Amino acid sequence: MDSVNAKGKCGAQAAAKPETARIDLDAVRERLRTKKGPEFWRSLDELAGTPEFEDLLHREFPRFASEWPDGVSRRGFLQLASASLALAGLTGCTQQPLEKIIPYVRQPEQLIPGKPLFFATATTHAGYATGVLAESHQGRPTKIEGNPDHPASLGAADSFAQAAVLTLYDPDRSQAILHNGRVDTWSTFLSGMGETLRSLAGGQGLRILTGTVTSPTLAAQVADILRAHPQARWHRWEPAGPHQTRAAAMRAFGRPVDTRYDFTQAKVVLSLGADVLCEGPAGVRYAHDFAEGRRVRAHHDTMTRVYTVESSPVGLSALADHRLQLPPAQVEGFVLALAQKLNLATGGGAPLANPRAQKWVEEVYNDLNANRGASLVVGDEYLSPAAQVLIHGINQALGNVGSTVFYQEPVEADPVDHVQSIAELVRDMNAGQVSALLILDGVNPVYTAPADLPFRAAFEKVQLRVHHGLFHDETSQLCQWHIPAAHELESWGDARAFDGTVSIIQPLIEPLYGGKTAGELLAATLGNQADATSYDLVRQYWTSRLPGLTAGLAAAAQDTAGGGSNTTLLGFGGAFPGAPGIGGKAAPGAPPMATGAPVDSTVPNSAVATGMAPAAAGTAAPATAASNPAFEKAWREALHAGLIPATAAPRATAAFNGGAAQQAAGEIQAALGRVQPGEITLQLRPDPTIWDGRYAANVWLQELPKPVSKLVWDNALVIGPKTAERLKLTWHDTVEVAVGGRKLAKAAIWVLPGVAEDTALLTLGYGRELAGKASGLGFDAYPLRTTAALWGAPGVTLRALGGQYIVACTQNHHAMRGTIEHEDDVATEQAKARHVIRGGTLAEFQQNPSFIKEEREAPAADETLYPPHRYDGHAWGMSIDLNVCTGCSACIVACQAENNIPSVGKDQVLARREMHWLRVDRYFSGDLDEPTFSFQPLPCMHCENAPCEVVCPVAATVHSDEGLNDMVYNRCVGTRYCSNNCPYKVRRFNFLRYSDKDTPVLELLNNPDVTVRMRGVMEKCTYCVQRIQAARIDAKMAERPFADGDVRTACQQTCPTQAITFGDIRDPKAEVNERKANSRNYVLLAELGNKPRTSYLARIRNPHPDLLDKPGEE
Amino acid sequence: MTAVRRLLLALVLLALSGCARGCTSSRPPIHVNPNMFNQPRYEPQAASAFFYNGAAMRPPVPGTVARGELRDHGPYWTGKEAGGAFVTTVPLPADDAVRERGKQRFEIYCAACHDKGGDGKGILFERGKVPTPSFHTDKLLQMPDGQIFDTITNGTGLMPAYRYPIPVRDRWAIIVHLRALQAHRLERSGGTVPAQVQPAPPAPTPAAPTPPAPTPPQPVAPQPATPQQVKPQQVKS
Repeated sequence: MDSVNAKGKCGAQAAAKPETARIDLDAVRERLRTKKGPEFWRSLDELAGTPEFEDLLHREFPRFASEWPDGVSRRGFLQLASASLALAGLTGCTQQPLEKIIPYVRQPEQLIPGKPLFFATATTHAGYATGVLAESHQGRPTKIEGNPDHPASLGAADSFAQAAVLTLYDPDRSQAILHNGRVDTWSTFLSGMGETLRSLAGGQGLRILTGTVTSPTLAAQVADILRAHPQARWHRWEPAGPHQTRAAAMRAFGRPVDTRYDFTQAKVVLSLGADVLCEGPAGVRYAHDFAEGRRVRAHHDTMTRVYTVESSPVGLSALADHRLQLPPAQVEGFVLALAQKLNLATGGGAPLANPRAQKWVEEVYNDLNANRGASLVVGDEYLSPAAQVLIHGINQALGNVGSTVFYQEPVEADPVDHVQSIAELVRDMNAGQVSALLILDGVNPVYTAPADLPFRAAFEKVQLRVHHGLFHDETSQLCQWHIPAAHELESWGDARAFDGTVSIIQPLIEPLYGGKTAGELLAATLGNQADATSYDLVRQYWTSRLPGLTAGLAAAAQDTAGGGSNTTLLGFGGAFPGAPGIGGKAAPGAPPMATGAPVDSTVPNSAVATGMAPAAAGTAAPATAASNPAFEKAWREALHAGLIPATAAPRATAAFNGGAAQQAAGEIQAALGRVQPGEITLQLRPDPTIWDGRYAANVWLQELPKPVSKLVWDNALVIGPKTAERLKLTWHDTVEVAVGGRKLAKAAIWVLPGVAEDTALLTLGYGRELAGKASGLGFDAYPLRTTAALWGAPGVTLRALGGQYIVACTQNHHAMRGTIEHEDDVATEQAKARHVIRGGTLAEFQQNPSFIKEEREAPAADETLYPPHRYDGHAWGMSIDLNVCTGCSACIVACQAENNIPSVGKDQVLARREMHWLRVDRYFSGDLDEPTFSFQPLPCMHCENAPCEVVCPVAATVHSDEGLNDMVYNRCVGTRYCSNNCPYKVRRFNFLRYSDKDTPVLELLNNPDVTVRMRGVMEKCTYCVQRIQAARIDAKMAERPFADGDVRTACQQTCPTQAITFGDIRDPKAEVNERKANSRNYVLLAELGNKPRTSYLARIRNPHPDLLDKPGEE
Repeated sequence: MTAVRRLLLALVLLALSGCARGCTSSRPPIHVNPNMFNQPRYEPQAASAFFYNGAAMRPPVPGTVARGELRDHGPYWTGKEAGGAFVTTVPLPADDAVRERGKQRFEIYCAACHDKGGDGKGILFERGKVPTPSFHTDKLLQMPDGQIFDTITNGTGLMPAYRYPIPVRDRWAIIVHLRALQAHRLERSGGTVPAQVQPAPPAPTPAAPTPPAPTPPQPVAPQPATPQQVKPQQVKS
C-alpha cells in the first residue's frame, strides 16, 4: 500500500484538474458583505462560486474520474477488454496457491493466536516520549494506542505516534551496514572504529552528534564516554527544538528551566502564535486539559475564554473565541503593549499603531487582569526570546506562576543551546580539529543545519564520518559508514516525557534488519562492551536505581527542595553536575554557552546511585537477574505500567529577572522600527505532518492533510488574500524567495485566508534530495534558515517566475452544501439554516439552550417507502463535539492504521481519489481577510434511512441488525451508485489497486482483522466493526454483558480531546446517549431525512462582549 | 447474436469442466474469482516470505511484559511458593461460581480421559485403553493443589500440557471442582475428608490476584505489591 510512488502509480493527467482559476476577490468580499454567500465556507472557490467548485459540489466524482489513468478512455478499455474476452474465462479461473500453516514451535502461554496482545511502551518525537500501548498480533506490531496511565498520553496519541508502525515497516528503511556504499559487517566496522579510536589520544578530535536526548541510559553512557575520553565532545542539533524558548528562559531566569502550563486552572487564555495543542511533546496532554475547560455539558457550564493573536492560523485558532491577525513583528508589539500595561517595561512609544489592536490590548488586559491567577499567556518557541521574556514577566505579574504556569527542571539531559552546539561543531570541523564524527539516531545535519553554517563543506574535512539512522539520507550519503538503526518498536530503551516521567521502551519484535540502537553503537565502539544489547544497557542503568527509587518514593515525596534525593537519583541536575550546560549554572567566568564541553571527570557520574540506592553496585556492575528480586519486581512493574512512577521532573523555583524585561522591551521596539511598511516577513515552521523532514518517508503523514491548509504531499509558500492581490499572485504560481541575501529558487504559492497581511509561511521538511519516495517533493526551506533567524525573517522579496507548480489540496474535495443558490434573502436564510456547521455564543446558549435547533428546517418525518428498521440488541451511534476538535488529524492516521487504508500518492489526490475514511473538513466563516475557523471530523454517518443501501444493485451495502451500514466487499461490483447517492460524500472507491500486495514487509503492517480491498471495490467507515466484534467475543468469554466503553473506535481512542464518543444508543446510561441528549446535538443535512447515527454537538464560542464590535465576528 | 451465444456456451462448458465441484484432486482447488481471497495480511499461523524461518507469527521478545501479564503473584501463576514448594490451597475464593466454572471446564477438557466422576474411565480409556489415573486414590488425595496445577499446566506422562487452552484462573477452578468431586466421594463412602480436600478458606492472602485484563487497552489497575517469585526469562536478543 505504501510503496506508492510520490508521483502516483499512474499519470492520471486526465483527472488532474486543480482549481487554478483567477478568483475575483473583490467580488467575493462583496458577496460576503451583502451576506449573499454561505455563512461557513470551505474555500475561496466556494465563495466565488467558481465553476470548478460547483462541479465538485454537484458530482460525487470529478469529471473524468472514470478515465483510465494512462489516457485510455473507458470506451477504449471496453474495446480492449472485449478483444481479450475469450481469454478472460481462462485467466479468471486460477488455482488457489498452496497455503502452509506454520505454528509456533513453543507457543507463548499468554498468546492466543488471533487475539492481539498490548505492550506498554513509548514512542519518541523529537526526543520526548509519549506513553503508548502497542497492539501486537502474534508478535507483529500493527497499531499504536495511547497509554491511559501515562501523563503525556492519558490514552490518546498524536499522528506521529500513530504513524510509527509504518516507519517500522517502511520498505525504504536502510537494511545493511554500508562502508563507502558497499555492504559490510558489524565486526569489520568495530575493528575499523577501534583502530581509529586508539589513534585518538584521549578522544582528541572525537565528536558525537545527537538530537535531543532525554534517555537517562544514553545520557549516562555519553557521560561515561566523555569521562574516558576527556577531549571528546558531545554536540546536539534538534532542528525544530525549543531553541528560543530556552534562550528566553536563560534571559528571564538565568537557567534553562522548562515552562509548563496547566490549562485546567485557566479561565482566560491568550495565545500568541503558539500551537501548544497540536505540536510539541506536551501537545496531547495540553489538548486534553484544554478541552476540559471548553466542554459545555449544560447551559450553566462556564467556559475558558481564548484569545489568539497570530500571523498564521494553527489548531488553537479554530477554538479561539477571538482571533486577531497581525504581521509577526506586530504580534511581538502586542506583547510589548501588554507588558507596558502591566508596567513591566517603561518608556518607548506605543508599539501598535493599529487602532483595533490597541482596543484589543485594552480589553485583553482587562480580562486577564480580572482573572489574575487564573489567566494564562502562552507564547512558545516561535516568538523571539525578547518577547518570550516579556511573556514570562506578564505571567508573573498576573500572578499565574504557580497556578496556570509553572517551571520545572529541564527534562533534556544536559540542556545546551543546540544552535551554539552545531555552530561549534562546524567551526571545529572547518579548523580541522575533528577527526571522527559519530552522528546518531538519524540526525541529518547536511539537510537541516542552518544555512549560514557551511556544514556540508566542513563535514567533508572530517576523516571518519559515521552515520546511524533508520534511513539513507543526505548525511549518510557523505559518510564512510552507515549503520542501520533499530526502530523504537524493535529495541529496548528509555525516554522521558514532557514532564520528565521515564518510560522503558519495550520492543514488540526483534529488529527486522539487525539494526542497532544508538546505545549499542556507543557501547560497542567507545564503551568497550561489544556484545552489550540494548536490553543489557537499559537494565544495567536501572539495576541500581530502580529499587532505590521505589523504596525512596515516600522520602522523595516530601522532598520539596528540588535537587534532593529523588532528583539526584534521577539525574535532574545531578547527572551532569559539572557540565556547564547553558551558562547559568556554570562558574562565573566560564565561557557562556560553552556547549559540548567535557564533563568534569572529577565528578562521579553516579552521585546518582550512591545517595539512595541501598544495593548500588555502580553502573558498571552487570546485574544478574536472580540477584536482586526487588529490582526484578520494580522492573516488571515499570514495563507493565509503561512508566516508572514518580520520575517526573521536580518543579523549579525561578526568579524573574526584571532587568531582562526592560532590555527585551527595547529590543522589540527596535525590531518594530526596522520593519518597513509593506515588507513581507517570512515565517518558518516545522511541518504539521512531516515535522523537520524526519517523517518525509512516511506516506501516511505525507498524505495526511495539513490541519489548516489541507495541503498534502507538498509544502507551499502560504500567503493571505490581500498580499496575494497586491503581488498579483494566485494559487500554484511559482516564485523565487529571497531573504537576507539567501535565495530559494522556486516555491509554489498557496493563498489561505487567515494569514496576516505581509506574512509568508513556509514549512520545513520538504525539498529533500535523498528521502526515498519523498525525494523532490515540495520546497526546501532550510536554505532560508539561519542561526540568527531560526523561525523567520523580515525583508522577503518574492519574484514571480511565471510558471506553475500544481500543489495537491483536499479542501474542496467531498464538498457538501444544503442548498446551492443564494439569490435572495430567504434563500440565504435557508442556506444558513441547513448548514453543516452550527454554533453560537455561550450567552445565547445560556439564554436559550435549544437555540441551535431553532430556525432550522425540521427534520423530515419518517417518510420512506421502506419499512423501518427494528433493533432488539445494540444500536451503535457516534457523537462528535465540535467545541473541542482542534483539527489535529490524529484520528485520520489512527483510522488509516486500524483499517488498512491505502495511501494513493499525489497525482491520485489531485484526481480526488484519496482514500481516508475519515476526513476533517475545515470551514471559514466571517471576514475573507480575517476569518474564523471550524473543524468538522466526518466519518460515515451510518444513516438509519441510508440512501446508499437502496441503490446498490447487488446488495453489497446493507443495514446490519445493529444499524451499521455494512460493506460486503466481495459482493461489490463497483457501480458506485452508492457513492453517487451519498449526500455526505464519505464513500471511497478503489479506482486502482492502491493496496500493495507485492511488498512482503508491508503485509506485516496490515491489521489481520480487516479485509484489504482490491481495485474496483467501494469502501467506507465501518464504525470499526472488527472492534465491535472483538469486544462482543471478549464479553461473551468473560460471561458478562457488553458494557459502555467496551468498544472504542480507532478515532475515538486516539482523540486527545475526546471529541468523539461512540457507543450503544439503546443503552440509556451510555456516554454517547448523554451527549446526544445535549441540546447542542444536531445531525447533518437533517432535511434529507436520512437519520444519521453520527451526530454533532454544535460549537459554542465564549466571546468577550466588548470585543464584538466587528461585523463578521460571531 | 449467435456469436454471443456460442461464447456463453463455451464459458459454461469451461466452467463445468474446469471448476466443477465434487471431483477429487490432489491439486489445490480452482478459483473462479480469486480477487480478495488471498489477502496481503497475516492470519494466525500464516507463512511469511519476509522472515528467515518462514513464520509470520513472531515470538514475543524475551523479557517483555504484555498488559495484564504482570504475574506479580507467584503462587497464583505457578502453583509454587517462593521456595519451590507446591502451594496447598487454591489461591481463589472457592465459591459456587468458581466451582461451577470449574465443573464446566472439567467436563470440556478433562472428562474425555478422566470421566465426569474422576475415575479415569473416560471415553478415551474405554475406546483406546489410555491408562488414566483415578482421582480417588490416596496419591491424588494427598497431592497438593499446586502440584495438580503444575500437572495441568505442564502435563505429565501421556497427559499433554493444558496451559494453552485453559487460562490460569480456569485451571484453579478445575482444581476446586476436582476437590469437590473427591470430597463428595469420600463423604458418600463415609471416609474422613483429609484437609487437602477440604474446600479452601475463602480469599487467602492476597485476595484473588487480578486475572489478565479482558480488554487490554483499558487501564489495568496497579496490582497489589506481593513478593515476586517468577523468574524472568533469560534474555538473549
